[in-house]
Amino acid sequence: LRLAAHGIALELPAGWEGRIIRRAGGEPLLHAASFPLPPRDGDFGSGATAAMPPGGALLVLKEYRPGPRLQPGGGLFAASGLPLPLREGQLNPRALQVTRPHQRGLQHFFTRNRRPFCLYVVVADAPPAGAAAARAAPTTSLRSCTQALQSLHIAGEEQR
Amino acid sequence: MTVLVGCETLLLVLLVVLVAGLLRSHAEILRRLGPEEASSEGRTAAPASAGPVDALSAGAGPVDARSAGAGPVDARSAGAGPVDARSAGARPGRGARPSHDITGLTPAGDAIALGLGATAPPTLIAFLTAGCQTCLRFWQDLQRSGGQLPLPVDLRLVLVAHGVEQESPSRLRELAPDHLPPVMSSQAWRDYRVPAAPYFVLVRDGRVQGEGAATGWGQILALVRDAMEDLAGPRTEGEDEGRAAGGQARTARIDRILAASGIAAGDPSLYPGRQGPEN
Repeated sequence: LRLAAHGIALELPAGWEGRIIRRAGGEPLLHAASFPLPPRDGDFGSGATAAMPPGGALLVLKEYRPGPRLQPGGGLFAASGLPLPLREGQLNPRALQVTRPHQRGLQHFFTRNRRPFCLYVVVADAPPAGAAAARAAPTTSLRSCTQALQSLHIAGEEQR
Repeated sequence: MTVLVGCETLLLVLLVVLVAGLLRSHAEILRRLGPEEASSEGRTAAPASAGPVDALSAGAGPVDARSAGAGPVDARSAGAGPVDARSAGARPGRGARPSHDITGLTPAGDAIALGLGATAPPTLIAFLTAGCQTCLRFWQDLQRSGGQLPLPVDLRLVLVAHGVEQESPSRLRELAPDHLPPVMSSQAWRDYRVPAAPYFVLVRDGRVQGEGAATGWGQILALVRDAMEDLAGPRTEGEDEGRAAGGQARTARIDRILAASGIAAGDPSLYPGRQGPEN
């Protein structure tokens, strides 16, 4: 499944779903998940993470509007690339916008084609059915997230 | 004066006869087109009592080929001639078809991709157009409901319109409720072999569990609820009794719907390909 709008394109892994929206007066926002997304949600998917099943994964890509205090390619947005492949060690419960049990997250700010973004990833641990399964779930989720992000294409701001 | 009135009366009678003849001819043409369309796709008839698939398809009753000519049903979709709901409800094996993911743009230019595989929640896909009169009623009810349609628990509603090559995004923006933008995807119409609009497909466990047409949300949602109950699996003894009662109520409701469309028990249209009911 290919998701493309507002100058952002992403190939979704099998079974995933997603959307790229632009709220009135806002900047483009991408949500992609390995589980059904709620029809409406906050920018950082607080509704989606509330319904996230064990082993689930959520990707959020939020674009920001440059201004006097937000320079693309500078400060918080100095990075130009994504930290791929995603690894277990990058996940932290303290990176979550809304802290929930058994969920861990990652925040990464970067600039691509003079467009500043925040990448926000949340994964949920598997149920405690078995230690091996619990360990494997985030790895599988991260592999899917990595696969999706490797296909990410961001066009120049004129195609936004 | 008397002669003038007589002439006018005669002219009026002639006009009435002419209109009646035209209507009859039109109905006859549509009646013939229905079975042609069905047979051209190699469909054969099946009794309409084969479980949940047919329960949903039975909702197709009120929408008939005869109404297509009058404008309320939009038959621009793939391969569509006029839709005969009875043939739509009698597609053997269609209920076992695998589902397809849906991807497309909303009228606002946003992108949506929906996974409808085995892990997806039960989903009711409503194929609507901006042009047909029956669809207009669905759009208006959606806007009025403010997202409060009495959907079965866990059932997701997805609206699908044609892509921009066939549909006007600005018109859809006017019609669609803010809380539920339609996905504009002509590919989805082809994937689900939608014969006309409005058309509804129930997807669950990665399969098409039922499909058909309807004239209102109340009707389609009642049939969806029935279909989902039927798919819910084995029950306890007490639940079975309730289920049997529910089945009788459902049968009565379907009978009422068919009767409202002028289709009584034994009607030849219920047994396409045969002369009448088999005993």
